[in-house]
Parts: sequence; C-alpha cells; structure tokens
Amino acid sequence: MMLGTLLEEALQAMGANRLRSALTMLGMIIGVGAVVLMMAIGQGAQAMVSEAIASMGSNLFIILSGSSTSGGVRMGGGTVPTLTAADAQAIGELSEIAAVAPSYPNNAQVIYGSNNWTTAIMGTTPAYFEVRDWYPVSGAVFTDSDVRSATRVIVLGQTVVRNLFGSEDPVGKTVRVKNSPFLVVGVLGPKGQSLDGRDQDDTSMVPLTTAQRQLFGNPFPGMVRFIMARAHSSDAMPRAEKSLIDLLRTRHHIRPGQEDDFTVRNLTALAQTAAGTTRTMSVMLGAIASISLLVGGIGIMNIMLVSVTERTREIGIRLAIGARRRDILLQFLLEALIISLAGSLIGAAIGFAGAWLAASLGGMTVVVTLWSILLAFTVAAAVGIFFGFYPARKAAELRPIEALRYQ
Amino acid sequence: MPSSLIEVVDLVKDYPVGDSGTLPVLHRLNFTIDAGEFVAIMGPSGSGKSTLMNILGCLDIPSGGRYVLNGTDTARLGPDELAELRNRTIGFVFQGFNLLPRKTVEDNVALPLLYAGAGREERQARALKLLEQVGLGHRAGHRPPQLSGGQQQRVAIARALANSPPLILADEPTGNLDTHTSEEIMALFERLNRNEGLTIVLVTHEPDVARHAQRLIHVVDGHIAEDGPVEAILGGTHP
Repeated sequence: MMLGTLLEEALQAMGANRLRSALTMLGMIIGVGAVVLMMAIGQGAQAMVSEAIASMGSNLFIILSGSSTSGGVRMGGGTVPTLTAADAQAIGELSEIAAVAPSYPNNAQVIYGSNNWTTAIMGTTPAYFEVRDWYPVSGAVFTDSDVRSATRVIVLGQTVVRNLFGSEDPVGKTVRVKNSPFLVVGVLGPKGQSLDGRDQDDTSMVPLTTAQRQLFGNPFPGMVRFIMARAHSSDAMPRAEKSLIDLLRTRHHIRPGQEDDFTVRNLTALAQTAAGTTRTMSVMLGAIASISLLVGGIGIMNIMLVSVTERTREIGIRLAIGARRRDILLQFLLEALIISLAGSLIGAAIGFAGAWLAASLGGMTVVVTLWSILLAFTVAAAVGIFFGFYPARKAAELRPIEALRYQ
Repeated sequence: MPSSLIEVVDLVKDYPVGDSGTLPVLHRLNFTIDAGEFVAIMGPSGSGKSTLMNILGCLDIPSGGRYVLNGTDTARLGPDELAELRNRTIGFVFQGFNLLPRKTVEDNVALPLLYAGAGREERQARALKLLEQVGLGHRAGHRPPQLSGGQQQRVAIARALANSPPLILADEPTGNLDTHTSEEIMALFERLNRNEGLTIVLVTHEPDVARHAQRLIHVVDGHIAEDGPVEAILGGTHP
C-alpha cells in the first residue's frame, strides 16, 4: 500500500473524529509550545550573558595592588600602591600577553558649559582600548605621545556624552576637569551593563601621566591602581597567569613563602561561571518543558488505544478483505504521527508568538534558533512513533475473526 | 486437479474449554468444491456452519486436517500470506454488510484493490464499473448509511468482486433483508455464477434461499449430514 494512500486513510479517520483529534493535538501543542518558548527564554538569557562577557573584553586579567594594614586594620586590595607603570611594561613583554594597560582611576566632576557630571576618570594608555575591545565611534583615542607628554586630552563614554552634550557632537569641544581644560578627542561606542549591572559607559579616559601628575596627584610617582592584561588566547590563560605572578614576584623582590603584594584576577573565568549558570538554567527550563511533551505523548497513546478499540470492527473488515498486518500498523502509526507533527507545528507557532510577546511586552531577551525548532520537531516525531507504536501494533495483531465479531 | 477449487480433508476444529478440555465443533469433514459450483451450506444454529465458513474464508485456522484453497495448502501460511490469499482469491459478503460507514460507496468497493496495490485511477475505474454491474453506478458518491439494506448488500457484492476472485463466500447474505430484496440479491448471485463462472459458497438457514444453489451441504452437529443436489435434499423445485 502506497504512502499517499495511507496518508489519505489516516486523514479521513482523523477528519471523522475532529474534536478528539484536536484535543489529542492540544497535548502536543502545549508541549512543543512550552519547549520552544522556554528554550527561547533560556537562550535569550545565555545571549545576554555572553554579550556582557564580550563587552568586558576576552581573555582578561586584572592585577590589583596589595592590601595595606594600618594599626591591625587590613585596608583591602588596591590600598597600597605596589604596582607601577614599569610593572605594566614588563608584563607587556611576556610572550603570553597580547596587550597590557596600567590604570589609575578616580572620580571627578566634568563640566561642559552649564552642565556637569561626576564620573570615573581613568588614567591609562592607548593599549587599554585594545585590551577591552573598545573603540571610538567618533574622533580617535589618545596616543602614546599624549601619554609621554601628559597632554590634556579626554575620551568620553556614552553616558558622559549624553549627560553633558545631549545630541551635540563633543569631539573638538573643550571640557573642564578640576579647573583644567581638556580637549575631547574621541567618543567611545556603547558597552552597556557589566555582569554585575554597572554602567560601563559612565566613564572617561585621560592619558595615564596626565591623571597621575595633573589631575589626582600621586604621592608615589609612577604608581598605578591596577593593570589590565589580555592573553593571546583562552588556552594561554593558565600559563599567562603563572608567568604574571612569577614576573611580579621577581620584580617586587618577594621571597619564596612570602605573600604576594598584589592580586591577579581572571575575569574570564568569572564570566564563564556566569555563563555556565545560565546554561544550566536554560537546560533546566527545557527539561521541565519536555515533561509536558511527554504528557502530550501519553495523551496520544491513550486516544489511539481508545480509537483502536472503537474501530476493531473496521480493522476486522480491512483484514478480511486483504489488509496485511503492516498495512494496519502503518495506518495507525501514521495517524499518531500526523497528530504529533501537526500539533508540534501549531505548538512551534504558538511558542514563537509567546517568545515574541515576552520580548515586546515583557522586555525579555529571547532567541529562537532553528536548532530549537528542529529539536522540538524531532522530539515530536519520536513521541508520535514511540507512543503510537503500541496501539498500532495492538491493532495490527488483532485476529480477523475476532475483530469481525466485535460489536 | 485443476478443477477442484476447495479441497477439505479430515477437517477438525475444536475450541479450548476450561484448562485442558476442548469442545469439538467440526468432526473430520471431507468434501471438495469444484470451480463454477454454487453451493449452499445449511444447518441449524450451533451446527458449526459458521465456523466452517470462517475456515473456508481463511479467517480462522483449523485444528486439524487439511484445507487446500485454489491449490494452496493454507496450513503453511502465516497471517500476512493468508491476508494476501483472501485478497486475491476470496470475495466476502456478510450478513451485516460490513461496509466502512465513513467511506463513500466507491471507496468501499475499491478497498480490496487498495490492499492489492492498485493505483488510484485503476481503483476508481474498476470500482465504478463494478457499481454499474450491480446497478448502483449512480450512488458512487454516497455513504453506506444513506443506502437501503439491499443496496448496501449490492455494494458489498461489488466489493467482493473487486479483485476478480474465483470464489465468493456469502454468510447469510439475506439475513437482514426482506423477501423481495432477498430474491434480488440471490438473482444477482445466480447471474454471477452462471455468466461469470464464479464459484459461490453460501451459508444460510433458509431453505428458500438455499434453493437458488445447485448443491447443498447439510451440516448437523459438526458432521456433514447430507451432500447432494438441492432438489434431491430439499425436495420441490425452484420457486
């Protein structure tokens, strides 16, 4: 018996019992809809996290100055200026390190015309922009020669621009910081929120030397608050971390057994933990949604069993006039398959719609991938075959004489 | 033996009763039916004639003995091979018509062709031709419940003829019909037997229906009580 004919037979049987077919389908619709929606939300969360990770810059180390102790009170990381620009330069010469940027940040008020805004001002080198994968959308960043001669130039983040300039183009304008005029040479592109929710765009950069000598002063010339370093690849990170520590211990004359006077943090490892958490959450959402798919499948089996019992006489007639067991098996299997596939088609559409609603009304980040739809379909087909098989086999193994006698 | 369509040798059928006992229904039956015969099987209810009919129709299997249909020993066949044998060799006509109520008359007639693997156009053409033959060409698009009993039985006969089988098995085909319609149906069987050379085996308990056949096998308590020409056994002539 040809497949086209079988399909016709199956559709005819389903059409004869529309309400029942629709209700059976409902189980699959809800199951697949839930899977598609949950995966969209889960993958949306993953996308959000990986975006935040990408905005931070990849393969990143941050090296902080050590802790000071004042009258038995330990003051916490970064309180003792143990790191210098020369340390940064030495780190930059390590083979595992691609770029390194010493940083000397402080808060200060920036004034333009009648507007003012207090923001973090980061004294650093041009390498900082490379380390953080952060490039200007307008103008340019300052250069090494600006750092050498401690010129008063400034690069602004988006939030600072919005608060001081509104829609005006700031490049070429002059702002005042601590009563000194600074020329705005560039505006950075938006970075958005960091993983901990900080606004990364609420910042501006000046040459390291300008910050050290002119803006904030520095009791220890050449000292920096922290150093950012970027490894060549994520594989190189463990090696790079070890080299970094060895190098700094040697430079700081720390004897074996003595504690480091600096802290090295692997930001990428932190980010990966966050990514792992969202991935787990995403998988869990999918797993919970899959349970409804399973319930839908059991619903199909239930209805197919009823259908086989109800149509025993019909099966008897078909067997009597020459249907083989395979013909009966395929007919009922195909019915289950059509119900599950049609149900998953509608369910996928509803899942889409739900994801779209969550995005447009709830402001959630959702990602619908082809993969999640394919998965839902494959699972639906598997559910149809798996749960359709038992009733279909039951139908096919009826003895013709008994099936014919069935009232 | 090309002329012997049905050959029954020492046929036994018994049903299991309780744990170990069996209830014999058919006791060592022996008979042959040649191609082109019109045979009526008669007997009181409980005589085993329906069981015999089911075995002849390959719907049930004998407990012992041999049943050779059209040269094929049915004992050696599995369920699917029996299905194919039924499809090609036997046309069934039942007392309760046994049409699929949701399918059109045309689709009902075409069903055996479907299982024989015929293409759609061939099925349609053949079904329409058969419906013309039984005088229902104009009802092809109707569904069985929309037809009278006599018309439904004629659809069933058309379906039985679909694959041009050599044998028609009719189980009380007039049981649900009034006398007038019964006569029409029996006339149709006679015509098929006479004009098409079809072998017809008919189960009935009505002597008037049996009289349309040429030969009568009288089954009583699982034995063949009588086997011979209808006139000789029932007496009288065709009404």
